[in-house]
Amino acid sequence: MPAPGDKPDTMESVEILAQAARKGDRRAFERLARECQPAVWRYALSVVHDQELADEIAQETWARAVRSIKRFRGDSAVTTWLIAIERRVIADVLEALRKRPPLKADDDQVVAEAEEFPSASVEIGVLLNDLPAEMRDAIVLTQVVGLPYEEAATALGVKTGTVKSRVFRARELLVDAYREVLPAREAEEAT
Amino acid sequence: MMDCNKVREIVTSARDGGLPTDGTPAGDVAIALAHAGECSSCASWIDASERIDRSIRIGLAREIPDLTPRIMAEWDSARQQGDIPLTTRLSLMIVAVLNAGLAFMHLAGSGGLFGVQTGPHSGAELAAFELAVAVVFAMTAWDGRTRGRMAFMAVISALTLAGTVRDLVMGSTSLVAEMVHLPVLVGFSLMLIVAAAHGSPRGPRNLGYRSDALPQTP
Repeated sequence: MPAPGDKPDTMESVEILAQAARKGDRRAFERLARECQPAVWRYALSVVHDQELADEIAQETWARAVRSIKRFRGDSAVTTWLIAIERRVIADVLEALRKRPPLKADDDQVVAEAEEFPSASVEIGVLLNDLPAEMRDAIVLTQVVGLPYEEAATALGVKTGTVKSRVFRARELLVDAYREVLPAREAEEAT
Repeated sequence: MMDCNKVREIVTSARDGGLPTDGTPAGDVAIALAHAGECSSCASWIDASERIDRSIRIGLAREIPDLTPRIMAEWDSARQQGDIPLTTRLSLMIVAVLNAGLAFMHLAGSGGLFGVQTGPHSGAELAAFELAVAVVFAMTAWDGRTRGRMAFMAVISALTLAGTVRDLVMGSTSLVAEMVHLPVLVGFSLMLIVAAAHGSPRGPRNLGYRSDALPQTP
């Protein structure tokens, strides 16, 4: 059984799979799901920084995709369509989270969650969390999800030039942050 | 003379494959690349940005959970819902219309056609009952869901049937008069068919969002 993210065995593209799934082809949708899961899941993780929540967002995104695949006309790339759905799911989730009172996490839970995230994630948190949301979305969609600027623009509902400038502005901020932490990290490594 | 910021934007955009469509003249790209080759500040910045891009990709490159079984369960559930035969849907819609018609009949005080003599107050209550039943049938015809509606309809149908049989046996009513209850009983039978043959798709999922997982807003 292929793992999520494995390339399809044939040259069949996800676009063709989507069209077949639209007509009710279960196997095509299953292959589409395997192919596009990484993009959907990583985008969720980049926003919420919580693996469990990323799972739930990804699953809800796919549930909505199942219900609306019949309406997918192929005007945009499949990944772009999925990301557009996912952004609505994320908005719903964040809204639901904001309405709920914070849970009282006990110390063990805090420690367990801290251990769940290795140092690489902390760096990502530092790098991405400090960015304004629109810049973070632009850089994640283009660098992690791998969308071309035009497709990222469609997913975000902005112009291509806006995505380009947001990506560049995000890079400027990230390079500045990177240069700030670099000397400290080098000193740490030297000791 | 192109400034450093413009050079960095063009070079990184070119790295992302974003240049062909953004209208940047080819001459500008060549100038920017030449500048980057000579300016140590730009070369250093471009190198740092490349490292950061890589860090982001690596940082989010965790092992992806395989959600395929759950996704396909959603697919199967949605298919079941969508596969309710058109004849069943139409039949449910017809009984919904009949019940709505009975509601208006009660409101208009013409229930006597079926031997149902009611005053304005009782007529309005009967109309409310018939309309509620009509809405249930129409919703089931529309979305194919039966969960949460079956208990309501089961109680109504059972009591209606019991009352009809009792009154017919006692001779206090006629078969023609009792025809007024036929849409309810037929509609409930159709709902049983929908529930048995197609299952009851799940309602909205409780994702169990954890408020402690709310990301920090910059």
